Amino acid sequence: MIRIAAVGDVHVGTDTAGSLSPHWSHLNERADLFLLAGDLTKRGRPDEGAVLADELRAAELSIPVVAVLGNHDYESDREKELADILGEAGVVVLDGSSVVLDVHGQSVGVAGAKGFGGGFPGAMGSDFGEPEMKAFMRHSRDVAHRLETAMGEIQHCDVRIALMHYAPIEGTLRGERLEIWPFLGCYFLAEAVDRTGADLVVHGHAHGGSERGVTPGGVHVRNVAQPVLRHAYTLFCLGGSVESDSDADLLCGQPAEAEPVEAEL
Amino acid sequence: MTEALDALDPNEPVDYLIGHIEEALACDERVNEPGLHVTIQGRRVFVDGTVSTHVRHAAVNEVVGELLPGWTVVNQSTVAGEFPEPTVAEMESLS
Repeated sequence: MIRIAAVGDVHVGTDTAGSLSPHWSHLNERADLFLLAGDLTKRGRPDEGAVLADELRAAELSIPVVAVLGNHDYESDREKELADILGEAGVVVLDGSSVVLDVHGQSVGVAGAKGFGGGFPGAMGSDFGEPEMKAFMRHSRDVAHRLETAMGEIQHCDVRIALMHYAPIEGTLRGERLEIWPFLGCYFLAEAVDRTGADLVVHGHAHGGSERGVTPGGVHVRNVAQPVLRHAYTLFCLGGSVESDSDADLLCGQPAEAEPVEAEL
Repeated sequence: MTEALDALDPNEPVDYLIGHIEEALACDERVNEPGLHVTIQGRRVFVDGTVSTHVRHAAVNEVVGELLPGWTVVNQSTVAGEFPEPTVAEMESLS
């Protein structure tokens, strides 16, 4: 069983300094892996990246931290610099790439990409018409293709996680205004995951959406955008059976009940 | 220091006012929050959604106040920085 902490859309700026590390300093005891699902900064500026790096250092995390960038992180056209700053703080920043971690002897693969908009069957853009429209949809398809390639790299892993910023399915957008769904995600991402196979998808971006969904291929999807969680982060235990796994109490906190849906910490 | 925004024409149709305000809340670096939702009733501007900090929450009032001087801003946005740590770990079976 793998304990995962995750959050997206923390939008760190110079006005948030010191606000995150008090929460994150408990993560070493609570989780085996910390996922950051994009929109890590307000405007993607290096000074904002430095604030986030300082928060992570102050939290003294010994667990792996894996991240993707989001649209906010591209605002200043300095996303590579931002990724480097986070990398120096020990964060694995994925961009159409993957990482394999050893957690309690299990191989955990995380493949990540930012993702993009485009929409969902019945209400989506097409690679047709003006060059601007073609560029929009081609970017979406290109990002999904790179995610699929990265997912292919972790297929041998015991646990396979797809990490992205944009939403891969409509299910976790429920609650958002229908009109903006094509700007919040694209089904290309879900298709990429379903083609390769995965155990879990984690994304952010949809602040007014829903926490849980499932791809057409049956992969569970979690929207960890902080405004949806209404918590500093979310925690979940992946794998194993609560009913049968006697370690659930140790890994998730309190002794497992007969059929618990949640485990108290 | 961010320059004050030019005021909108308050006689514009409400739909356009909403569009301009939402655009400003997304792009103005004091807020930078594309997810905020604006509605207008009379001369009252309602803003809903989530911002990360109290500074940005206050900036919402500032930005809308510059766009529509003299109008009342009803800032109902919540501040994510106040969200607590989770008290439960949820079980997620492998897909």
